[in-house]
Amino acid sequence: MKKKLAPLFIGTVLLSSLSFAQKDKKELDRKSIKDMCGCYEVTFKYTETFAPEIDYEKKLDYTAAALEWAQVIEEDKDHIAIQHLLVVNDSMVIKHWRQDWDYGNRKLFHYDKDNTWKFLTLPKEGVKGQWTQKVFQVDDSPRYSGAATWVHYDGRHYWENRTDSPLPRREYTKRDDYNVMSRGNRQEITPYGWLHEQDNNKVVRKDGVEDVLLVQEKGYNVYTKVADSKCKLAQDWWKDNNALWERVRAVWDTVYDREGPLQLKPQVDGQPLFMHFYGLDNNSTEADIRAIIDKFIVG
Amino acid sequence: MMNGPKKNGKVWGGLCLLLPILFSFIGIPDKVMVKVRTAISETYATGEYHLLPISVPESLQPQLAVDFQGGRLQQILVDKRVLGYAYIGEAASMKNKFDYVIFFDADLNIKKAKVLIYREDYGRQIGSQRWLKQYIGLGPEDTVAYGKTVDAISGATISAKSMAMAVDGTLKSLSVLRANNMLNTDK
Repeated sequence: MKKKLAPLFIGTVLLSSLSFAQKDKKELDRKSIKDMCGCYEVTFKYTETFAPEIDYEKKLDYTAAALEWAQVIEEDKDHIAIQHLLVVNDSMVIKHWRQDWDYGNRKLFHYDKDNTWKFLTLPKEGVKGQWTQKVFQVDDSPRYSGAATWVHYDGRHYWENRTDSPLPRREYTKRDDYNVMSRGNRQEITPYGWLHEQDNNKVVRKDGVEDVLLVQEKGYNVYTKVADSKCKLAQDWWKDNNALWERVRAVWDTVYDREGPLQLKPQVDGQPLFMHFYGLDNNSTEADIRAIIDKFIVG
Repeated sequence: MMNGPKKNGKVWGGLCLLLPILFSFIGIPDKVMVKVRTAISETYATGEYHLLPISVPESLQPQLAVDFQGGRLQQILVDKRVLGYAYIGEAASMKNKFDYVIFFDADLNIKKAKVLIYREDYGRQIGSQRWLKQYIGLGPEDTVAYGKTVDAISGATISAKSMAMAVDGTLKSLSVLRANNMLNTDK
């Protein structure tokens, strides 16, 4: 009898240790994601590297710097949303990008081209243990998303993924020689804060033909942690404006609850979506917000 | 029926006008010409231009260091004003040939040089504008000497030397064409 129970006992012990290990891993993932929060001095550096065509002339490097506040704005066991806010000249706050992280998530969006995203559901087996990162624009419209596993080895903590996106904001109004950025995103928690390292491909995409690589690009967004007090302006701004943006996210969630494409007009009445949001305040209703967003949805 | 001959006449007339232009590009592959046209728009900051091939008599060819047949030398015009010239050439790399273009202003000074198509992995450094910009401003009286008046490139010696010789040959040849009143440099 004892001999028969032994394998069962060992199996139970192994299963529970595996379960504990998974739980610990998930907690480590959550800690790494939340380690991107706080006040950061950020430097942005991009340089074009290799082009297949010899006559391509590399564009000038892009460099910029900013002070940025990032905080968790939504959280449950499988979901963390982080809002980034820019502090400009110690006097102005600009709502910047948002990154949502979802554990074992199957629903995401892929950028195609022409301001069109395809919403799709991944197979359950494919996302086991993975976190989806969904990145949104300043007006909470979609930008890009991708799923991958957080890696914790040799004292390093990083997540990396390749996915397509529209042109980055720094080139959106300046370039028309490519229409899709295939982004190699690598986010690594470091002793000084965190690093968003990028290996991007600038791609020309047309219907019915293979993508053409125009040029590759290396990018480093270096987030160096500073005292939270330096970002007090942004913290206060969020307290004052959070209610509106909670409603904006709720409206977008109803738009994102779909399978298939979502195409957004780049401009309506000569202005991009985020400028239409300037007229909103904490008294604006979900119906007000929906009316603006609907004007941008094609079809 | 009466309109037939007139229509045919117009068609033949049009073809007669087009043929010299069509044949003038006959030696230059379409892919190269597409790149040349894009480069002209960028270099001269205009999309509104037309190209006029310059025919060089074969009797002059022995005095010229580069090939001018098949529409390799083009005058770039906006309306009737000469913006400059483009010389579209071919030179040797280590195991193959590469295509290049040299743009000149109306006074025959180099405005830009570009490698358009390169067909092997070694020596691609010659496509970098950091190296090619050395040629900007040179005119028919200048001499290009690889490793002396222009920098050498380590790891791309054959192609870089070849490009330097091509630029030197083009400048010397333009000097001959100008002396023979083949180029209308009136602005």
